[in-house]
Amino acid sequence: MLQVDSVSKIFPRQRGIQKAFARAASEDDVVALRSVGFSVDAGRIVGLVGPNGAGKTTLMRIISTLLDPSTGSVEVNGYESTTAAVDVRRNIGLVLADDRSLYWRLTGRQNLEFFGVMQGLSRSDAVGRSDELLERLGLAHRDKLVFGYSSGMRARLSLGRAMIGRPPLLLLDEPTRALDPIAADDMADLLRQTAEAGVAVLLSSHRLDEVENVCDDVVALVDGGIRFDGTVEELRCNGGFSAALRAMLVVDPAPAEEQS
Amino acid sequence: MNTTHQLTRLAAITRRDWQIERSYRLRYPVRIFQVAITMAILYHVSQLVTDAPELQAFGGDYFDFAVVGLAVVSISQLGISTFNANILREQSLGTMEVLLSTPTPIWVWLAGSFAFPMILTAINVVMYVGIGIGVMGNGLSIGGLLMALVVLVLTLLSFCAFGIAGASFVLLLKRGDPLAGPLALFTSIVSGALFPVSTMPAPFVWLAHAFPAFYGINGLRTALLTDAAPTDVIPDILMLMAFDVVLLPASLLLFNRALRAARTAGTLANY
Repeated sequence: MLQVDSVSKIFPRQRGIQKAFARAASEDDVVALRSVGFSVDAGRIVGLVGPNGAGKTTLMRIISTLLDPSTGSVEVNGYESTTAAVDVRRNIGLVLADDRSLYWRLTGRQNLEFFGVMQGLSRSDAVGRSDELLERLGLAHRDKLVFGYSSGMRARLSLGRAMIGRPPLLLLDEPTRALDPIAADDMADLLRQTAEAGVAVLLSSHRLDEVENVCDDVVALVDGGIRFDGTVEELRCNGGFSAALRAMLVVDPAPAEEQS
Repeated sequence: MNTTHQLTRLAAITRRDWQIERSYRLRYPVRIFQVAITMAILYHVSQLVTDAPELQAFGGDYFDFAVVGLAVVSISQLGISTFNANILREQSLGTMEVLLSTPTPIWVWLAGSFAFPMILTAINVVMYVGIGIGVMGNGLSIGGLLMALVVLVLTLLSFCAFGIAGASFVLLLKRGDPLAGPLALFTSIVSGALFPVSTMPAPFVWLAHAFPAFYGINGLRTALLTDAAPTDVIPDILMLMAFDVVLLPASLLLFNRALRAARTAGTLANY
């Protein structure tokens, strides 16, 4: 479903007009990803873990066509992200790590209906699918302006927005960040059900317990490169899931200092 | 994706903007009030400006003369500011990246976000021209309405080109569109919206002729305020078409390049 091949991303030093107007122009190129490659099969949930600044969000943005890779390629359901970007977008549902990514002056239902049509559904399909998702996410009886939602409700609505077009690949950047433990467990159940229905899920998270409980596979990113790409089971057998992963996620101080 | 679905998307974007507008209960009544106040002020100023020879070519009444100018200023502001305002809004709401991750074509997004503000501006223009000239002024030349509509559409297109170019700067530089402010000022003062271009110093007259608003205002006044034949508006229409043919493709090219640059630099959502 998702194939990432040797993807690198270098943010070039700002030049010309952009440098002239940038408030904090970088003097050097910034290497965010270094030849990253992995795959996510249909029905699998892959946890993307790594310390802050490891390149997780950059990778999510490249897969969702919001950012062009410097080298390498991304393929979603057989479509290449730079040459068939529209087809890739038709096949993904995206949750960004930002709960502002909804229209706060619309209700939850209005948000879902709008994004449903943007994703390619007809108006009537978008209405029907919104009803279904609001029910499934426990938001059906609280249809008020998103402005009045709690952080947890907005997180659930963001997931609903990502799922509205029934995409075969979900890209979720810290979707449970704002959820209490019970709501996070509910979302984990929903993700498992979604994967069992054949959807591939790439889940970025800082919560190792969540990754262990929800995911089938793990990709560990450190300083833009892959430290581990394997199953949860492999990590469990390698000295315990959390301990093994924590040992891998230690940042080499030299490159970190270079970047800062 | 077929045309019907793109129209569904356009309708969905318009419905979204209407729903957001409706959630601010006082916003539209305040706009209507502002138009009414502006017309009232112009009406009283017009009582002081009588028998000005420069106005004879346009029916002689300052109120009618200025109201047509304001209608074109409204249209120009719509074109200049809507695109960059929409981009800034989506960036600050955090919805920009989510929208761009959907299969909705950029042109549908740009056109859709333009539709609702255009409806609001059309209501303003109808108020200026219909109520202003038709009811409070000396009356409209009904025969010129069709030509007036053509002039308005062509004027709007040329200002959309400036607006799309300005939106490209917003994508790259975030705040500080270098076009919007000077263009708005230029349209209001130099293009003859509030006083005849012939009363200005020669360099300003030349500048006015190099700018589409001049032809929009001149064409609209000729169509609505005089008994001229429709063919008298054709020179203005041809000039506006020439501006549109050059400016629109250039601005779309610039916007595409700015979008590509923002995608490469990873600054799409920055504001």
